Amino acid sequence: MRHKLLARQIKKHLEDSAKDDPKLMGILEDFLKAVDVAYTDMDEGRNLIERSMEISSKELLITNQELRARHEELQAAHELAQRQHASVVTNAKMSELGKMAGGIAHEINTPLSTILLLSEGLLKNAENNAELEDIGKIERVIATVKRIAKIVKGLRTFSRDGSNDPFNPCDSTQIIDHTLAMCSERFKYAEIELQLDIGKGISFMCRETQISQLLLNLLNNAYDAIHTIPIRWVKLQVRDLDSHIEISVTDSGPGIPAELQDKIAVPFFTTKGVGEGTGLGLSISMGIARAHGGELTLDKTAANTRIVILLAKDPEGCAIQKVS
Amino acid sequence: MKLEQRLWTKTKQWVPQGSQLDGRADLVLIFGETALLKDKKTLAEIKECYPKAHLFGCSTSGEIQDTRVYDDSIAVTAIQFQHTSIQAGKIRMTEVKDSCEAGTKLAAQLNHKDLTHVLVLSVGLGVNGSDLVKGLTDALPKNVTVTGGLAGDQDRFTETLVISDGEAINNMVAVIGLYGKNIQVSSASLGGWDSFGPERMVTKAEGNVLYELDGKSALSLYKSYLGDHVKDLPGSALLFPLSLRGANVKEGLVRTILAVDEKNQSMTFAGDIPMNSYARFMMANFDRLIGGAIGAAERSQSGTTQPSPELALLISCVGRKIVLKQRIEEEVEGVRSIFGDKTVLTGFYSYGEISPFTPNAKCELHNQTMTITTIRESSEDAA
Repeated sequence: MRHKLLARQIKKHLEDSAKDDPKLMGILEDFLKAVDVAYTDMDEGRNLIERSMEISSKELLITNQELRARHEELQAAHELAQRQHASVVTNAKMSELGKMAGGIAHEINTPLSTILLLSEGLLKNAENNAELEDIGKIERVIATVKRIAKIVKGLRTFSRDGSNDPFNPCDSTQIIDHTLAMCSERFKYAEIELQLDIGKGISFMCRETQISQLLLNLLNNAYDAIHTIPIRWVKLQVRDLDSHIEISVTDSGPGIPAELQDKIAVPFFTTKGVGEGTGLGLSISMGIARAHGGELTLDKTAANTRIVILLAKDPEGCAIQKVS
Repeated sequence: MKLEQRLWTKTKQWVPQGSQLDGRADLVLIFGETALLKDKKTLAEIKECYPKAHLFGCSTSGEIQDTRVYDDSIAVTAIQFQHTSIQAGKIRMTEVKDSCEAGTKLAAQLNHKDLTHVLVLSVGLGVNGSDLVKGLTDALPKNVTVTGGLAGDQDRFTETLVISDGEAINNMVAVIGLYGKNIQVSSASLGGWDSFGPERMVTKAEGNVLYELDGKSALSLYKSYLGDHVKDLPGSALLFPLSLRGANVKEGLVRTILAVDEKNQSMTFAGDIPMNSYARFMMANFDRLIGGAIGAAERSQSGTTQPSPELALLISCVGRKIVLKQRIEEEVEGVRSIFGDKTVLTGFYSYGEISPFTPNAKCELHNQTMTITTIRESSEDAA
């Protein structure tokens, strides 16, 4: 059977005049065969090219998608590397700062002790002489010196790595007091209202340095989240849950977007710009909470951003317990 | 140099019947269909016609004589040199891995003094053409040029033959050395295929055997592209030659398939497929293929002020013939348009072409190209 196009062409241009001429048809036969084969070959060639282009396009599309995915992976890895680098730099700075803080604290403590001793002596003299105006002034000096001593102690506590410290009995109020000494001025300066609902002191076994670091991390995060918005408050709450102690930090911010909620404790994840945050704060805090037989969670039901820390009162005794 | 051509076809037998050169021919180039060359009577007839000449040729995937391309024919070109002497060499291939050594041994069979050019015709199957060329060229003096090709067997890939000294043998590689200062040989090679589709890395290959591209079976990939043409493998794989690039691969290197092994899911190519090189499928572009043949003719003449050559040996890839089909003669006509009417054209469609891309470049094995060797003999006193 001849190619459709050739059959049509013969019918249109040739058949009427040639069909009754067997000699002419005989002469044309080889020629028509060659044309027929050429048409068929052309069709086959075109089909092959079309088929190849279709397969090739699909392959290229898949390759393109794979390359895009790979690009995104590499981009994420690059960002992670940038954050890790920033974190290494920050850690190095913190380590140096820690050493420096320890040194400064030591240097300050000695003259502070002298000032305190002398001030207390002056106070005793003033009391004996009943000079009320002087007594007031000296009492303010003593209070200020004690406040400086507290800050220095906080600095020393915060600057050291407490991960190998033994668990010691501590009072919640005291730890919070020490931690606030480190940051309350910053909150005050930014006009952030600090709401404390810490009740009476709860005694529990902990590594004081680590708990202090944990609280300071959370308070600093809260500060960073709200210090530029119009309504600014941070609430620190402590509750006694029998075997555990619950500490929560809530800020006036709008909360963490749903798509980021599961990532907040992932190491190196941060919504802050490179150099502003290491992305390690919450993951370190979570590690500390777990080391204390507890957990750090985001309260997804809260209207604002609320981070809840559960700490076992006796981490070594109870091991890690699930607390609902 | 005096030349004479004859052609044998089933319908017309020998045309022309007699010979003008008779016993004076030194070399007879014979290109023919495999079964016809196996008939000892045919070669005996040629020998009888040119008793003093060395018979040199091979089986083909199509014979070229003048501007016609024939199938099932024997194309004969007898050459009588005026000032040039020749020396023949031949070797039987036993294993593919011995290809390089075969080349070295062939070079050793030739006297290197006054050697100008070496024509090489190799069996088309069971050989690593890249290695053969390397062995041959490395063992020859640097100023000696080499051109030739791998014998063909239509698109059957069943049996190829090489003729040397009147014998047509299926595992032979033969050479002819051309000697003297009067012989002038130039050559060039051009393709004209377009690469398309994704680039794939050669992830499993040994020598000229390819197993995997991008970690997947290369044979399966070919089959998916070939569709209905799968039934015509391995010949149909010539529709999609591979272009290669990579650290140790010269840009623009093209490889075509010689055989398919379903059991091992492997494909054997005419030359090396280096590991970790990048491969892309190629596709025929008719105008560029014909333009490639014309370009090869022009390149072979570049840098010479001499008139058109007396003889042009055209070795073109079977893949071009499979694609160009009825238009195949257009590439030979294109070559004729460059050389003019006086140049005698002979040649064949092959399983691999051996030539530098341009005159003075390094000789390599090519696939899918038109490779042209032009020969002229000056009449000046060489002394």
